[in-house]
Amino acid sequence: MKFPLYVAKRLITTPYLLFWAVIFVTLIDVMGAFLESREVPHIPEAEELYVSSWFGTSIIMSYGSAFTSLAFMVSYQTGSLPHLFRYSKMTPSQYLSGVVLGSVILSVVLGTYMLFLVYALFSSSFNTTFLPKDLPLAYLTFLLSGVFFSTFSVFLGALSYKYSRKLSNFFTLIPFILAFIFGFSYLFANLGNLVYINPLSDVQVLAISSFLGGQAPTGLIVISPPQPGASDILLTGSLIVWIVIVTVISSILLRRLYLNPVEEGKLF
Amino acid sequence: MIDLVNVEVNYRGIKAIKGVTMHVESKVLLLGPNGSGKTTLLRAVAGIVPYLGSIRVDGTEVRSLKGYSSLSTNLPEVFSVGLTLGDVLSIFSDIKGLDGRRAVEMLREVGIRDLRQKTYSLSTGQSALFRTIVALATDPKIVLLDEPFENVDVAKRRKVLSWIKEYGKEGIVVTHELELASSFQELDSYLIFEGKVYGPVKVGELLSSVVTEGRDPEALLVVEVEGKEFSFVKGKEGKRMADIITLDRLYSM
Repeated sequence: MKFPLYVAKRLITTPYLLFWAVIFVTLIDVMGAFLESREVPHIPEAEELYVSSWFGTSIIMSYGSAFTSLAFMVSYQTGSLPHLFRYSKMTPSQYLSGVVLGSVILSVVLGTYMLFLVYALFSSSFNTTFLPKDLPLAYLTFLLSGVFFSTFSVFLGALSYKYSRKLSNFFTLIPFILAFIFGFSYLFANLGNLVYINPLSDVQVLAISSFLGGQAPTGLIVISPPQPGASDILLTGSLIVWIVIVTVISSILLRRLYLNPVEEGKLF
Repeated sequence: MIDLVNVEVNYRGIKAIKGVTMHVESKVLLLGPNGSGKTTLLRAVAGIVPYLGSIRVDGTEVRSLKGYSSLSTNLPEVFSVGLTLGDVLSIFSDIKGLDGRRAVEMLREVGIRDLRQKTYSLSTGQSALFRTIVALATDPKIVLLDEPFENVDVAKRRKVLSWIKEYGKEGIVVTHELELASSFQELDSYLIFEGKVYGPVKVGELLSSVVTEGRDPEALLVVEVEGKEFSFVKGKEGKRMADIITLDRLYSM
């Protein structure tokens, strides 16, 4: 099937995605590395946690922006799906797996870029080397994030197409909005066990753990007493459960998809 | 073969298609003014909008149809799967058995060469040409063509006409331009007004008939428009269908 490659090619070459998911996040990381880092105490553990949390934040912001582009793309494509599922070789499962495969390629490319970016910027800023400690966990996070965000984007695209074409732009921005809400909630609020419940915090905290090489705290705002470490197994399990839920709902929505024409809706 | 039995399509509770029954086993024309429901009917057959009643394509109900590649359409909604013309050709060659080389040749013949163009950046005429060519280059058994000549210049219309005659054994070609219908004299035609379909009647006979208000017992066809009946009658004095040019003019008669 050429479709997954098409999805990956289109996503990686989308100018909006390149700006928001790569350039914009790079600029924020530059600020984190060279401006905000001045207030970090010169304690190796504090510096490591600071750098790791920037990696987690970069990942969630980058993915939130990137998969907003995917949600737009899916929303644009949904018009052709009811016809193609009936009158071509494409099936709902093939479409979904095509989007997932293309998205995983994107999430791995973006994740790898973020690894290098955080390593390069923060190592230069702190004059010491910050290498990610758990690469297998990092790549597992990239992979699961790609699967989650792609099925979530299909879910949003199908939902907006089925129920409200007028709100389709809002629906497609949801990954971006949620990424920023949860990304900053983790940094500036004490989420506690809520990190296990929402999939975006799962991604962010798993990314932090992978860079840190140990369990990331469930919150960063409260330093004393130290927050308990978040369990990587629970975070991964939660993310997988979310993936299953969103995939099942997306598959059902895709199979029942019909055009909801805006023009005719206005006419009558 | 396309069989429609008592088909209804509703948009927010308003009936756009009202109890249509048709049996299509060759190429037919569907003629109707703007807003009469032509595109909606094609969308229902193409599986794009939900419907009530029954639509069977080669014996299988459309709502439960899967993987039937022998039907192609030029409806714009179908082409949003790819961003550029090249993307659409590539995806359609993969999932619809499009003959990519033939499609590129046909596109060149109508002056479309740059396949890196975005589908939404094409002019209305170019878009109609592109979509029609892609639909035909999949070498379908059944074609559903919606206004394939819309904003297409005269020289290119001739090419499109010859391709429509060449490709597809059966199907529905929709237009509201009677001038173009005259190129399909030998085909059956259906008329659609306000969501109701009338016919079939041979295109040649329809175009040589005159339109009179009221019900004529010798009429080829009697249609209802805005509560009034109109008869299409042969061999009488009056406004010839061929001279009307577009069916929208019926409303001003």
